[in-house]
Amino acid sequence: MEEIIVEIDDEGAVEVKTKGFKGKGCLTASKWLEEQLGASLEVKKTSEYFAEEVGEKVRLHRGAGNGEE
Amino acid sequence: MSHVSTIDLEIKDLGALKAACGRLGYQWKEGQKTYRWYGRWIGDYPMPQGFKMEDLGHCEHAISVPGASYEIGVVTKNGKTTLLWDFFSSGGLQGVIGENGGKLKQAYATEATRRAARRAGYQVTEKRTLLDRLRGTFGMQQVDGIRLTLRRGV
Repeated sequence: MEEIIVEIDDEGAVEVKTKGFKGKGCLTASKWLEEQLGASLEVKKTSEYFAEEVGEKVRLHRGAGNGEE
Repeated sequence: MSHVSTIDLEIKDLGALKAACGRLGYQWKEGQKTYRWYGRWIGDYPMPQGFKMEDLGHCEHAISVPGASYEIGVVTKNGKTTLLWDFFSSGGLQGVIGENGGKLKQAYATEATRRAARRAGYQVTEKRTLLDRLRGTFGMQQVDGIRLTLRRGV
């Protein structure tokens, strides 16, 4: 399930996280909210982000090799 | 988790700020042009960016906080909204709203997220929780936090 998670601490520091979005789509999925809350100071891509990106490349490569997809 | 963005919070939604005051039991004073403070600039701390001494004490709206004799001024200048308040201890604000106004900022960010999410068609669940945060010389600490989860409405 696709989720956007917002965590706000007692000093008002805000972190926006995404979960379940495919590949680079996660970056755009929460951009509208980040812009509404302020300016993005730092973006950390997690291992899930890179795992999904590699997964997409493998699928594309297979598609090109065997004429499918 | 695919990515984590750290946000420098800005006040862009006055409706959310009003709702945050309601959430905390503070009183929003629509159109009040002055806010209570010490009344004289001592110069012991830097002036808020973009403000001059004569600006202090003047605002477009004010916020009254139970238990504090001083008030918070809400000022929008060049499209940017700033909260002006005097944290001198006898005014009582810092003890209630937290250092740097953290409690008010937390409530504002919560309401701003809820309102923006609703407009974008998301359903929101809210939970109070402990968050791991780096706190200066204390290292990693568990602090009071709020977690909002946004899912597309069905």
